[in-house]
Amino acid sequence: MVLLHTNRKKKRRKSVDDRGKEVILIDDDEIDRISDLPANVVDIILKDVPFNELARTSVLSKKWRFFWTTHPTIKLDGNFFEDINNNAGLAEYEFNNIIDKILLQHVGTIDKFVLDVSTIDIDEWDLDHWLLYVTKKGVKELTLDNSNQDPYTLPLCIFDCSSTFTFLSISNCMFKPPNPNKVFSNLLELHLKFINFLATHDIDAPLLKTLTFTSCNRIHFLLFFAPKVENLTINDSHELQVSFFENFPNVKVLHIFIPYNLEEDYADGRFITWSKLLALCPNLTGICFSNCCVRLLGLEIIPKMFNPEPSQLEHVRLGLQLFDIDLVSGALSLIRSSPKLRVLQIQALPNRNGQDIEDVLMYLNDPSCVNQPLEMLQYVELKDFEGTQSEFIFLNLMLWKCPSLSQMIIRPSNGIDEADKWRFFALLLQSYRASSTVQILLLP
Amino acid sequence: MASSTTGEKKILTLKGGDNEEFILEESLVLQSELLKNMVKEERVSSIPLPSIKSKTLVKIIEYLKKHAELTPSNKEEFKNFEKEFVNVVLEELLDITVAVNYLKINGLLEFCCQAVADRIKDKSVEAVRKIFRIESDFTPEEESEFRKETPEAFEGDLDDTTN
Repeated sequence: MVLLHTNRKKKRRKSVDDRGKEVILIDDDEIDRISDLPANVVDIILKDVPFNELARTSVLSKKWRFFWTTHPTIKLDGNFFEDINNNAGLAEYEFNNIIDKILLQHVGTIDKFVLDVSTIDIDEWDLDHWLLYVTKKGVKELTLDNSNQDPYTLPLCIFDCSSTFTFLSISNCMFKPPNPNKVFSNLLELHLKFINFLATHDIDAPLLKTLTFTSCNRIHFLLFFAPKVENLTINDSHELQVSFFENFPNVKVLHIFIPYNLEEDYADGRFITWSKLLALCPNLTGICFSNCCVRLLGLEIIPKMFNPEPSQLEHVRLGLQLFDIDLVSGALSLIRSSPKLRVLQIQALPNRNGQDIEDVLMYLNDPSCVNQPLEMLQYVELKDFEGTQSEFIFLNLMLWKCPSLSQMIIRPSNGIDEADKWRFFALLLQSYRASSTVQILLLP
Repeated sequence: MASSTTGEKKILTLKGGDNEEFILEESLVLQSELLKNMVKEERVSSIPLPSIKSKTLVKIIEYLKKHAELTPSNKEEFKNFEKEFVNVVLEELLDITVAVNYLKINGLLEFCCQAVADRIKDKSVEAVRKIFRIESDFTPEEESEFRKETPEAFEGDLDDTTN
């Protein structure tokens, strides 16, 4: 980094005038633009540059010759390994040799280390050493992608340095924290992917803000002390349990995506109810739930309002079978319980089995269905609009009950008949609207 | 200087490098860590920023306004605005980036830096040299040696337009 600052002044160029005397010319245009930038800005610009591109800077000029060796980020991602693979003459190099050399030449601290070994063959033994090396160099942000390989057991150095990390993204690893537990005292983001948890683990992360699980098994084994988690995303992960949400009383934004094939993991057809969820996580401002997730919440006797206290929800996004009375009444109760709701996005699911929708129509047509106007609701979107009557009545209801509505977006599904689509749209335009300024748009 | 108020909203004046003055609501500048500290600790109502060109300041204030209006329902619009925001000649983008770094507007700094990084992504060494006006001070012998050693370093897009 020091190298960058040696040349901050305007470049002076020596020249010889017509009498043979040396003069110094200063030319504004000759200022090397990047040398004028503060060092931390250069570091941020090159923060996410994969190593192969970073290495190229070494042939820019002398000043840049060893820049990479002090740059605090080393990103050895899939791109990098592909690049090496494609360059003739390098193919026979062993990858571990290359990684060794890079780490050996690097001087100074390493803040961020990204290693994607999903496409290359390496020894666990080597991996242990690299991780030991970067943790010794004070790595704060670590990404290790081990997908497509045998699960790798995270070495102890990861837990020994637990207090240094601010960002961890780990995939396909065995997670066995030592006893007694180490505290991840500075960790802000944790992303776990393809991990099977086999036993109960305590994870102490007092500052953790963002937590993501993707395709993990038995996450209910994890006991978190993470009172500051605000963003929680659960993708594809098996066997969710009520107790899991007790870990995160302050979560604000919750994404849960459960695919169809995992539904059978929930023998009694649910993992939590709306009421319980809203009671455990009273600070939710945004939720995004897939259709299966909504179905697994649906079974309870739906009250008019979920909690004595209204929810804080401002943004709700649901996959919803608008023909199923249990789901519709659950969603409507959620809407009624959320006086701060501003954005509502529904993805409609097709009624393939031709389920009877009489119950839903009766429910939505009942004047007491939404008894209070939804004062704050500004934006309603219906995705995969099928042109069914229940959808139409639902949209009508929103137009009728939302005095602040500014936009209603309808995105038809691919299967919908062109004529039907326009007929419904025309009908909708004639509906009563509580808001005089609402735009109703049919978008692809 | 006492801070002036109109109604509930506190007003603040920012003075750009060419002494041009910009009057705005104090709440807007709180997005800048630097200005936030100045406003909170020293209760100033006018802040000179001699190192920032007025043209740059205009852009940054425009961003602060848009960012303050950001809601879940206009996210798309904001993204488009951000895209347009960095769609300026490199010189201007670098000016903005340096100013944002100075003002400590963290989210915007990352965004601007990424925009600079995008300009040199996949570019050849020659193109990057031209874009940043870096003069190669290697001898021709050194240069040809690098080319032999690491030919891949010299591959890439030769397009050196800076916009």
